[in-house]
Amino acid sequence: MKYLFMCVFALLACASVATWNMLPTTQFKEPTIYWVTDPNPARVEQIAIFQRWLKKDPSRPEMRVLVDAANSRKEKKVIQGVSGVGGDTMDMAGGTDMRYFNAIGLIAPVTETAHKLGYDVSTTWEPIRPLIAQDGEQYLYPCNVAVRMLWVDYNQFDELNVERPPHRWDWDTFERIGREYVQKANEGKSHQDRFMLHSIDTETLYRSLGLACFDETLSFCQLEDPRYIKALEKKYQWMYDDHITPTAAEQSGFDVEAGYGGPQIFLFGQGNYAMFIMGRYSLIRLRQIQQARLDAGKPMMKLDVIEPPHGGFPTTRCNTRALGIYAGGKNIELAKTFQSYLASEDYNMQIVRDADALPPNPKYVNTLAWDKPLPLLPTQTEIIFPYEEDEKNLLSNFRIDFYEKLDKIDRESEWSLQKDLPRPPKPAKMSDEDYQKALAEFDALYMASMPVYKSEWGMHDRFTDLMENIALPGDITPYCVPETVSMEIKNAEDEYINNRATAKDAAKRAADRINAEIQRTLEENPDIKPQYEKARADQKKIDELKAAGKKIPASLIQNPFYLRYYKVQGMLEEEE
Amino acid sequence: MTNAADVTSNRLVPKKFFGTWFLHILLACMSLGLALPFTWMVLTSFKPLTEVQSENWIPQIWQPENYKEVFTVVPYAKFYWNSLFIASWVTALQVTTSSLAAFSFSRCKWPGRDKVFMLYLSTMMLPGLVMMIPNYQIMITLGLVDTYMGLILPAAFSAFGTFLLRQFMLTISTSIDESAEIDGASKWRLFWDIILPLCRPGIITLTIFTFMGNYNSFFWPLVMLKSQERYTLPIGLLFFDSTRGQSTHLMMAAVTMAVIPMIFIFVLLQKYLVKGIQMGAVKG
Amino acid sequence: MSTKKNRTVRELATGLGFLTPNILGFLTFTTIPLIFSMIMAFSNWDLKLHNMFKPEASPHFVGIENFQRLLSNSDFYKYLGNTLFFMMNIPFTIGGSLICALLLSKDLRGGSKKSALMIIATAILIASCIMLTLVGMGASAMTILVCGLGCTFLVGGALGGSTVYRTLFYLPHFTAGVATYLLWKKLYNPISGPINQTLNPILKKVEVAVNATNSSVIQAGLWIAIIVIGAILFMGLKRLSTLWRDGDLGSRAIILPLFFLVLPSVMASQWFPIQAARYSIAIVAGVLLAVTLFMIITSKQEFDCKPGNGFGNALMFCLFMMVIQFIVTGLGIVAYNLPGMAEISIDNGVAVGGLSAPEWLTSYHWAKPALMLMGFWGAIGSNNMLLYLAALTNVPGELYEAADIDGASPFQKFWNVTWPQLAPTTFFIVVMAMIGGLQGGFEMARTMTNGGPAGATTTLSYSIYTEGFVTGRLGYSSSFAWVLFAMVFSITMFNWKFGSRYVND
Repeated sequence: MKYLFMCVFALLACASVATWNMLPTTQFKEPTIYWVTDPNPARVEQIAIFQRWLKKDPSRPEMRVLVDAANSRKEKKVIQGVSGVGGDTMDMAGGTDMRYFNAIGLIAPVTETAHKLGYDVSTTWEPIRPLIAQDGEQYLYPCNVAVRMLWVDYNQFDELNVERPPHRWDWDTFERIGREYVQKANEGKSHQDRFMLHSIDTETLYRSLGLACFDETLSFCQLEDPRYIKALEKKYQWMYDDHITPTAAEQSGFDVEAGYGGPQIFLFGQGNYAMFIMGRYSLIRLRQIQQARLDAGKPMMKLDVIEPPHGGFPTTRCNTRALGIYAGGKNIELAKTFQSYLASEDYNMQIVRDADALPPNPKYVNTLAWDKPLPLLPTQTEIIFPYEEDEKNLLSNFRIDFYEKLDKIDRESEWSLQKDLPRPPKPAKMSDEDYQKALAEFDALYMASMPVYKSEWGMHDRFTDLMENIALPGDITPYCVPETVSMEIKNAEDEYINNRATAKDAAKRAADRINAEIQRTLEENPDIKPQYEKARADQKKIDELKAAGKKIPASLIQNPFYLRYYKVQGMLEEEE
Repeated sequence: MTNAADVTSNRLVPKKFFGTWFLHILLACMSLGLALPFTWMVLTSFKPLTEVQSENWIPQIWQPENYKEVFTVVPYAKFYWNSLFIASWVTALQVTTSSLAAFSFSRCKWPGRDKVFMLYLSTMMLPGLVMMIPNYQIMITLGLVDTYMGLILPAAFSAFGTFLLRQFMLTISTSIDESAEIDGASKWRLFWDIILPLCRPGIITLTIFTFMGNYNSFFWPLVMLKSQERYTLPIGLLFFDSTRGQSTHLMMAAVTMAVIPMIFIFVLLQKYLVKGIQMGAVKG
Repeated sequence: MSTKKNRTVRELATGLGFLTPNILGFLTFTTIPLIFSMIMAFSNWDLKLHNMFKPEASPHFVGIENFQRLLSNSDFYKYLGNTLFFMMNIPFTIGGSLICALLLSKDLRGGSKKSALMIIATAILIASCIMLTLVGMGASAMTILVCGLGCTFLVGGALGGSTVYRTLFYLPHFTAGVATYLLWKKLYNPISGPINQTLNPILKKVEVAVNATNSSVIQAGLWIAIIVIGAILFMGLKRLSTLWRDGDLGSRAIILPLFFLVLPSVMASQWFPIQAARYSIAIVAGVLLAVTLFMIITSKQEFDCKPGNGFGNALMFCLFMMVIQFIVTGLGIVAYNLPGMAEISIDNGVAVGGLSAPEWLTSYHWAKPALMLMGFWGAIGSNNMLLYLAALTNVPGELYEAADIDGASPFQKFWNVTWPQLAPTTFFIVVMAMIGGLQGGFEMARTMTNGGPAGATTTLSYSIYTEGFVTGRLGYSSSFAWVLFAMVFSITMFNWKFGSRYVND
């Protein structure tokens, strides 16, 4: 027994020494900051480009960025943050997370630096500005910007001889086409396996009726409104009566081994769904699916993006994954440098090329690479990683000559199916003349192997169009934790969908509970009470103006949804 | 060593009522019911991705490479090592501290002993989540966030282990103490040379419980650890469940591998486990 | 005098010396956090308002405000209800563990090598017979797999005795924690999970059969259920009154078992789908209860006799009866609804209706039973079984011999000898399971359902987590935890106060 004890401890001591030696030494000579983000392989590339971008300007500090993909869950950020050990920079959902983290004091304001380094709020898309700034203070800068769109594969409609969905459609059209589609697609089957749409959120539905979750001053939850109830009932009807969208069980039943972005993209590719709602980043997977179809000799999907069906006021949600700086970090200045990189051409063009949603800076959608994307050349993946390579191979010179040639080719011409991307010639081993000849051959071959990307041409402009015209951010009340709001709404909707409550009761429940939560937060934090009372007073004025049918001054309105809504309705009084 | 459970040999029911073969078939059917999810797991771990959703449990194409792939997708070997390493340390420390404390609670007479013991016991009832935030603050003060120490230390002192071993030591006759005292043996000698060897089944029971409990612990490592190279298996398994890339076949391979050390330990020590439980916990 | 004092000091020193390593850790990692969280529970500490970034603001005491708010919150009761619902699993798992232990405690070696060989031969014979028949009929690989596996276990058991079975029974326990949850999440997938892939074809056949039968025949099941419940109730009440007559059960002690016994009929009179059935069950239960009470009162038994020895016995018995009654009630309701559920209609060109397997984790009503089934699988062969096994070996053999001489049947022997002897173990297991049940459900909810759908699987501990880390109200969440502690504590106190009396009888 004694010897056993001693042996065990001796063994453990040896094991400890071994473990100690196994720990990697990730110490750089430069100061290092951590980037808490999701485990996406693209981050490696983005950091590589960052390191190169740093060297472009000698005034930029020497530093290293390391990805911390293991702590991207919100509660970990909070626990580590309030304990003083948070990551230097953190990805978060713009708006909701920002408000919560900012309420804690977790993220540092960057207004001045942003102005100095040229990444203030004016450099990004207008609709998402409220999501990165609060009370006139900027906290975040977007890593990417997503606008939720309806992806369509027209082939699925053509095959069944169903009318193609139009770019803008109301609920009636949606229902009519949806019923026809579902009926024709499932004829004679023992159980339904094809749906027109993967799912639609109630927010999109009730917003298109002119209702927002909170009122104009964001101080009161108005979900008890009949319009919300109508939206709930529509969602239920499409699910259980018309079978246009699947129920939760049907959805999870389809749940497959899907890659990045969730199962719906895969199921869309398989034909289980003819449409799904997602941002531009779904292209990352869609391109793989298109390529796989090409390889298998199947026809490619006829992709397009259209607006979600509307009940009178066409709108859709936009959101952003944005970078914030941990206020308790040791390297806040370096972190700001990294944040300013997100506004740079180098970073934005990477997003454009990778189709990872919209670039943070709208300037870069006015480029050829946006309009007519090309696959990344094999050599380019190689040159990114040893980023000490010379300037002429840099990404910003992204094969502009190719675009010039491509413009001359008819868009509708047949592309030969090429399985492997051709490799570019290696100049080191051939004479200059041979190299030029090889390069020309390669160019021709390369262009012929790009049907996947060419199928998207022209589509990307739709995103810009929608982002600029109908996209709106979520309305987030400053008077309670956003997570509670979404949780209460989800619970109420679950109760309704599971037949545990009527739509009216569910709506009342959600509204009551959110408003009670607002009152509770005010009680706990009297500091925000004056702000709240002013908001209530403003709201009273707005209600009076509305009742009198008068225009409402923009200065009174806090809710980004109503700013746009009243403007479109001609009810907004804009000040000079 | 005779199997403890077999001693009862056929007392309850006469043999003619339930023939042995009938009993065997019954037991085999029950084992089958309990083992089916497990079987599905092991079989799925050999399937290629395309077959995961097939109704057929047996893979059409056997793909043992899944096991190799698990190690390439995440640093699984590292997680494995970490889990075993941490659980071993915790077990060794907990057995040591618990047996010392149990000795104090059962074999030494000091004023206030039983009150302190009650305090120990009552903490077993407190939900662990209550103490998480304060404990985290303590870890920061001690500078143990994101270290192996931070996982090992808090788990090394357990009220349950003390309770289990105390109950066990109480079953050992006190006449041993007296004779030891007459021989002039110190308390330490009594503990180290007499009580501890007699407690072997109890210690083994505690070893298994502690090892299993710690090997499977999830939430504390999840909040404590920042760097991936220190992650333990339960957290590592979550990598296979993310919405970004579900891969059931790899997940099942990972889970299967995570289970193997447990089975090994159980098969090795199960005789003592039953004996330890028999002599210890029940006689509370 | 002074030597005695010296002795005390020395003993204290030795005692504390042995305790030091543990007590240091205990103070640092348990006592300090404990006191800290106790203080938190009475404060308004909110992560949003009080943290390292806001040194000027400090939390202050709010007295029992947190507790008041908590106890007036309807969510708290909902989550408590969920937790208690999950705890209904406890009798099942304990019963299962007991059965496993009873079977495993038998002599499985059969005395000689000959019988082992015979078992192996039987196993191979059965396996080959089944395989031959099924292959002849075009059996799927699945059937062969299951048969083969079963026979392998049989052979293993014949060779290795109870050790093999014990390890197999313990198997679910190895995959504890996150691994189990991930595994079962896959198993429960409504369409591609193996459970529903097995259930759906069976249900299809049932559906065809049901659609072919007259619906009133099947619906008669409801009335059979009422008769069965009445019979069970009758038996239970008879036993209770016997216990009363024998003086084993006092007036104070009879209430709880009686409550458990009658509860299913009361619930059934709410749940049954048609009025007539509801009235019938209410009348049957009412009459039976009235007769029993009448008999009890007129039995001239001394009214305030103390809770006697029979209480634990009666409680276990009534809990068992309650479970069976609930099952029968459920079956009755299912039988009534079956014809309606099996009907198939065409809606908007899509086939709807018909029997389909439950949607498990995504359905409000099935999420809880699904998680309970998983819990049952994990708990049946675990430490509880080992505890029972250990306790069974401690039962003195003379008791069985005496029973044999009296000519007792196997059931009588179990009921009169084994069960009372196992009482301390059962009590220990029940209390530990209740403590675990009250505290449990956090990891399960977090990895499998996120507390949904519509909060159906949110237990108290998961709700502590969401309150603490989602909304940042640490003070409130601490008070939540302390209320939970109070509940656990009272159960344990109940055990100590009452259990010792019961156990030592």
